[in-house]
Amino acid sequence: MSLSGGNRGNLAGRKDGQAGCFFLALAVAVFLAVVLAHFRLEWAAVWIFGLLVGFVLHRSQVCFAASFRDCFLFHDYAMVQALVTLLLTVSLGFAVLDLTGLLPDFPYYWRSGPATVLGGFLFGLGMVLAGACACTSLVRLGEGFLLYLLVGAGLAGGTLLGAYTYPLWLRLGGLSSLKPLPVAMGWPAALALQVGGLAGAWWLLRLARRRG
Amino acid sequence: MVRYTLDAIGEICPVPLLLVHRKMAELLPGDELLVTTDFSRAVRNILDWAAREGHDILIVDEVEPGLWSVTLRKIR
Repeated sequence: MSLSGGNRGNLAGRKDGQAGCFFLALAVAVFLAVVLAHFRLEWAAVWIFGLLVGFVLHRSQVCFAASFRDCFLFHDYAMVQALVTLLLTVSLGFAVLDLTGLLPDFPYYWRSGPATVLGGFLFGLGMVLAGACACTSLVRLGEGFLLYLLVGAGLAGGTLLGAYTYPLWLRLGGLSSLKPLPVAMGWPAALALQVGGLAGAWWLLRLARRRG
Repeated sequence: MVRYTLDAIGEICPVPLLLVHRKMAELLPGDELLVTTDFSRAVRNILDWAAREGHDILIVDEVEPGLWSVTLRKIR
């Protein structure tokens, strides 16, 4: 396969084609935003925010599957360190939003237990085999990888199966209601524990990266 | 100096980097490897890995929309 400058003759034409696709997609996105705003302004805001997050995920090449996989396979800790930075930011952000009263529904109660561990293991296995998690699958699909239509179908199928068998997991005792940390111990202690733990993990990863 | 090629088109992460890893182990210092991939994240992975391992990154190019080539030179 020739990868020399000879291929570049067709490049300009292809890029022009991409520009057309971009403006078409932009027009559809704006149209959908207007339609959603007509029903509820919040929906349009979520749609636009989602598009912007997708753009950042694509351009930054952030990959959550890589963050878990590459530290084991290639001793590459850069992405997992980025993930810990993200969790640190989100933890602080949630505290600020809740303490300023911007999260009326907080705290969120989720059921958790051995079934969560089993589900997490299955999800992780699928994520590594597919080469992307839920959000990066959408990024890859946006890049034109049709394989990720299959991955998306798997994700939807798995989610439906999880919802369908949810009562079974409850009966088996695999899920129990847990108090969120801020409820169990208050925001200051919860923040100290979570931010302290994550900061410790971040520092260890930094050390691991320096040692190569 | 010998120039090798590696076709990783159609392979998803982490396979392209695993193939590069394996192929570079066979090369002698000074040899070059031209890798082609259509998985954008694999380009980032290969570049990060090459930089960590101390290999020279000679050329990184999007030769066609959605198709990248990376040329590495083995140093040690």
